[in-house]
Amino acid sequence: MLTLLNQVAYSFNVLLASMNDRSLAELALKFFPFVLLLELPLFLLVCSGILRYGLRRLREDHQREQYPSVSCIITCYSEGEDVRKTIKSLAHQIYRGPIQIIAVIDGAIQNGPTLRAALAESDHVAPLHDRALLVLPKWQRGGRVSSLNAGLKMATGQIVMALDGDTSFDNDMVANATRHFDDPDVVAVSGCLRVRNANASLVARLQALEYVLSIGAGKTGLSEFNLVNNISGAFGIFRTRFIRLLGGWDAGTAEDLDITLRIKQYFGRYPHLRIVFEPHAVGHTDAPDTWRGFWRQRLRWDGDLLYLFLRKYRRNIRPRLLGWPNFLFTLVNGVFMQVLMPFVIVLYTFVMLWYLPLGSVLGVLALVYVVYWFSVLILFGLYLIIVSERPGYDLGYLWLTPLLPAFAFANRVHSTFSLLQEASIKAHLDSSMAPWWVLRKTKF
Amino acid sequence: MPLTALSARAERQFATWADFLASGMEATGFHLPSTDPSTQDALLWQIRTSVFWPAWVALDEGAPGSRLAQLADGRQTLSDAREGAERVARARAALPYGTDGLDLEERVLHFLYLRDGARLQPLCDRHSRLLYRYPLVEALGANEDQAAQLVQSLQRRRCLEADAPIDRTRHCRQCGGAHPHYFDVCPHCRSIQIERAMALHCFTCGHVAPQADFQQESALVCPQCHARLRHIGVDYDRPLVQYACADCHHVFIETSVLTRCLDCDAVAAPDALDVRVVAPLRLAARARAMLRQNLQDDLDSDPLTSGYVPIGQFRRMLDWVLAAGRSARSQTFTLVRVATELVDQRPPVLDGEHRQRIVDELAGRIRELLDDADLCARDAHEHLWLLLPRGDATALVREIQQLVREGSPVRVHVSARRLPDERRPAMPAAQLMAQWQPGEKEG
Repeated sequence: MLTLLNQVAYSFNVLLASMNDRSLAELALKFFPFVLLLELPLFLLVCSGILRYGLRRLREDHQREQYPSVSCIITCYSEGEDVRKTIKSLAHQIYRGPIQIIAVIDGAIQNGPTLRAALAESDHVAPLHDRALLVLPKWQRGGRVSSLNAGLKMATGQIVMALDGDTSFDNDMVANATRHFDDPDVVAVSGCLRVRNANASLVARLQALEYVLSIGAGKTGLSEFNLVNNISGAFGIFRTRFIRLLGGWDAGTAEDLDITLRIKQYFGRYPHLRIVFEPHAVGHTDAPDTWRGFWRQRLRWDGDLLYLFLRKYRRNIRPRLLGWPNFLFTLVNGVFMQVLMPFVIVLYTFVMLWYLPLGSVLGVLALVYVVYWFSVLILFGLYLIIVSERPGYDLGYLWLTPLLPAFAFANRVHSTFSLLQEASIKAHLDSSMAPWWVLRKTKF
Repeated sequence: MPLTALSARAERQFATWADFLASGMEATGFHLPSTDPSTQDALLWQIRTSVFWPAWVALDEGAPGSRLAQLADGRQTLSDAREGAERVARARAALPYGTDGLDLEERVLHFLYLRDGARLQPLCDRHSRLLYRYPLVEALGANEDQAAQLVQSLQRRRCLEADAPIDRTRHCRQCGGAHPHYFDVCPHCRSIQIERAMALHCFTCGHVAPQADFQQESALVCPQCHARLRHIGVDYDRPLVQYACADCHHVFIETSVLTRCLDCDAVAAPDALDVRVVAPLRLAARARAMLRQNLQDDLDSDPLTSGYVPIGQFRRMLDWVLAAGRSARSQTFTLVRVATELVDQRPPVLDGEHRQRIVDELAGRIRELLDDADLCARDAHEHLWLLLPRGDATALVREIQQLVREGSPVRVHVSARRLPDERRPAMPAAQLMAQWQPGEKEG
């Protein structure tokens, strides 16, 4: 045991202190921090973006010019009574413009309770000024994309929102989200998602913190450079005219990343177009509250990444379509960091365990851990001070930050498993997001 | 039985309006039983255009809705109508000068004054040049344009104030008509020959062309690189540019919108139209107080016309001048009338707002030519009246005529008359002005 501790201390110290030695073992040890270094530019990009956002907000003295009409498409499935929360939170938005709420009930025959819950809200919405509720039952199940496209057909608003039936919204969400459309170049806005059931379990709480950092902080930073990586599926806001030009959402899984990429494919030709992230347009969604549920969800998400980046859009990730900034970002952050890096990390951990004494491996991991935690603290601090609309509430997550590096590492390891599964058996064709006969229609 | 005439002493029923007139009854109110809408409208129009215009007119409770129903004072039972008629009769009796011999403007103001809470209701009429008309003002003795001008003038002088707006109309700046027609044009050359051109953009080679160029039997194939385009978003997409101009071949994202006036054909951008608010109008508190105190003259004073002698006062002074002239002939005066006319307008009907501005400007310049002792007044027809304490005004008339240059859209008619004038019969000032006949110095 003592030897093990000595080894940990040795490798930790070596990594920290010796930058000039050229021995093979030390190079190997340094490889891991090298991986970290790859993430450093991204980390700095996000931090500088948040700072820029803060400075911009200090100066901002912008009088609101327009209140465009808004259509909110809520894709409902088996949410049951929960869908009423979503409809209520939209009907009671503090917004001067008209809001059309379209609740699309997919598979309305088997989801009778959801349909009845949505219909029951009609009486409550009808007397409200400038609010209209349309319940659209789709008797045969066609999946989320088919619901969104059906909703888009009925949408009359200048702005269309794609929302999940199990997500409810702060009452200033529409006002905060739509103000960006004063700028004619903004084609889409990504909303900020928070975890509604954070108190349900540790895994839900960890996801809540992860959402805060990766969505709340991460996208705020990226948005400053027009690099928003994904417009959340549960909470996307689009200029209706533009989404119709795109031909609506595309069949298949991961329609949110799909539509984000398809919008970005215009950036090469029309570099003035923008996707904005609005941290103060807040939606609260349910995250899986069991580890089993969590891993299942991530299995789908990670698999979708490979499906989209390496299969469906592999020929489209090029600067002429995406523009240079988004090309580089998608290549590094999307393809390299999210699809290839998990393999590298897992593989390298195995190699280290094989060649190096256990103590040295733990030493390396300890350093990685410290660096990650430190960066999490910086990001969390910036978020609390500059971005958060509920700093007091968010501060409660501080005690969870030491767990986050381990949580992220476990995610990475699991990711390789998901990616392998997608690569070998096209797991995206077995998604819960749509019935198999819809997914089979996709060509990829 | 189309109408019941009410008065303080009697209450009689008549089959027709002619029967009522033939009876010579002095009615203070009318009650109209339910009848068909056109008979109802005809009867209402006859009442309001007659000498019985101030009378209280109630429709039966079950009366049908009709275009001119607003000429009535509401739907009431016979007994309520009686009360209404008495109320109006009392208010009329309290007026020291009665309601006979009032001019159009005074009739409109008194009509509103005699009944609490009355409004001039605008009526939407697609055949009207201004889109909205005021039937009550027209019934009291004006054509459509005169009514619009009068209403505008009364609002400007703050005698009438607007209720909550009911509509907004857009008016051509050239003729004032409220019938703009909107159409899409090319933002580059303004040609109307534009069409939606669904274009495609091939991801493989970047070729952009109309969709028809890609169409090959049942598939889309890029005409440049021959790549088969199977999936939108993956192999190709639609560029933002979706319109093309057949004239200048410019392609663009959004069309421009222009308006053409259906009355005068003037083409303009939508933001170059004048926006006017349409609202029911009620008597302003100020005007009500003035009418109560019989201070008609004060109604004419407003910031724009301050410095003018109120027209009523002007008439009294003129009366004094005429009387003085009859007794002591040593002092001579000259009365000058300046009438303005807008020319070269299509259609020839004048836009009230436009005309007002020109008359304001001209009046300002004329007043600069006057001496301190000269009096200047302005009447409801926008005529300018000058009373000069000297017998010869030739120089002034010439100067006024020179204010308007050749080719100007405004023409002035200046006419003058020396007072006292022994050759003409003596008449009061109001009559002299109403039946204006210039003297030898017509310009």
